[in-house]
Amino acid sequence: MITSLRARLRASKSRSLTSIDQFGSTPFAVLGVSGTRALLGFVGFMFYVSQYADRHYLFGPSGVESWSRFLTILEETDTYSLYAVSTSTAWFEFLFHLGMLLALAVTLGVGGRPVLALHGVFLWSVYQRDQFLLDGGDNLAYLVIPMLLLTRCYDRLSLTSGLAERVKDRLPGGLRATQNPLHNLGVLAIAVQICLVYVTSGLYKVQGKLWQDGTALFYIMRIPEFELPGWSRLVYDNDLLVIGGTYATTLFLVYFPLGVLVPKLRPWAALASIGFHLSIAFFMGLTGFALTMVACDLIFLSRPLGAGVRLAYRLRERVGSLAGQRAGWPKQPAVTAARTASAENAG
Amino acid sequence: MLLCGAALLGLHFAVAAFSQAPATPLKVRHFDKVKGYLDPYFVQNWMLFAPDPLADDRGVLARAQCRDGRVTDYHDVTTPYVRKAQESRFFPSRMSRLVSAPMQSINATDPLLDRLREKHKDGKGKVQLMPEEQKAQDNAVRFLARYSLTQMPDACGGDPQRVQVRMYVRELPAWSKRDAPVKPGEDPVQVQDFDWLKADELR
Repeated sequence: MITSLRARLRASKSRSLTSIDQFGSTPFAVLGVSGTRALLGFVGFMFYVSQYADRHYLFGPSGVESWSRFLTILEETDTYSLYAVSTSTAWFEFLFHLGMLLALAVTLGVGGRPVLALHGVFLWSVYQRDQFLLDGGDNLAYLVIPMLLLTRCYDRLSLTSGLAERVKDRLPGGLRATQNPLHNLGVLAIAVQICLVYVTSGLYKVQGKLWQDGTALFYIMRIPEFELPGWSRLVYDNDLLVIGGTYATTLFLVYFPLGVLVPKLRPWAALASIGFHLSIAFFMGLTGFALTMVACDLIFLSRPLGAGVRLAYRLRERVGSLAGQRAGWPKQPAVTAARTASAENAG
Repeated sequence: MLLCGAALLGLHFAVAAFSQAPATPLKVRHFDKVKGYLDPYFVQNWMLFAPDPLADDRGVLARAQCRDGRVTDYHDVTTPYVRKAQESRFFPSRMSRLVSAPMQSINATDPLLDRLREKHKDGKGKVQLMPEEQKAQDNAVRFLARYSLTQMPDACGGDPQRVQVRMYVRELPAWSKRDAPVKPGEDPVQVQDFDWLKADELR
């Protein structure tokens, strides 16, 4: 009895040691976190694009937020903004367009993590110029970018420049060995952060009267700023959709961490979140917010994403062979492909 | 290193979660320290549409006073950008937030003091706005006035002397009355007028 207990204890100890060991050596969710990087970069890029015509009015030296108030806010929050460096229009245009290019580079995966860090600095700077424009999505973006810097988020879905690889090869082995544990910590941090977002917002909803009554959606969807004329009515005029949607929202938000903790439920929890946020994007017009949340959900979807990428590869190969122009496509031996996929898409 | 990093992360998220907790005696005591750590790069607020979501149509109107003393009609400086936001579903313009966000900061008073205010609604013990709250409100009103000036460029031939902001809150029909016919002449709208501000000082 005691010996079997001891044996079992030893077994569980060695199992937890192996899992710690694995956590230190195998990078988890590389594909997912690469997707997070690409999509976050795209949302950042669209922040610049969607405000492009109004850029002088919103962010310029004589913008709608007065220059003196801008400087005061920076001082009060004890932070910086590159836009505060000079009142010249040329400097402003330079920053704005460079910021746009940096965001595009992050989306495409050019330049590696140094470019991601620069993008973070530029994005923070433009956010500070007009804080009234910001929402929870922007908040999540500036929290997650430093976490992404820890991860190998350029390993997949990127146009590699080659330079990063060469720099990596020159690094001493000891430093290179820290890569995987840091990566996994970064992924873990994003996972905890997104759970904190959902659970906080879920628990506060539980306390709200309209959410308890099951009518919150009815009210929110009629606020003019968040209404889609002609479409929102289809939801808020339907009692079942209003009550079902309101309760489903709260339940989903509160139980999201449990869904993520159980490996079998994980992709479903993430898919539910993506569906939820895409409908927010459609009905409420909060595209940037919704896609930022979706970007973070991608870290839970490495396996399905991997399957998707493989399918795309196979389709491309078949199309290529049909067209009789196989040359030119990069060919990866099936065995190595499977091996990388099984390791990097785990989690 | 892994364990060390995990411990640091745990600590960080414990603090971040604490900052999101409801107002408890513990939070009242320690929130300043927590804020000192989180400010400004880790600040977060996840009370998205909770606990009580907005449930009305609100915005601002503005009018100007010309140098000859004439006062213009009210300009609707809210609806055009709300329309613009409704017109697109792919990264719509955020201009409408230049009205809604400062309005929110006008109404975002200290939650603890708000409890006191709720208790002593009228008469004795009425709780005034604290200096910090007053400052936030003044700044938001100044921003709205400045914004409004840019939205009515033709008022007073382009050179108004003063500008006044009016905030309106129109309650939307409640769920229980969603099918009730709207009675003519009944418009449950509340307005609040802020002080006239000198245009030259806003520019």
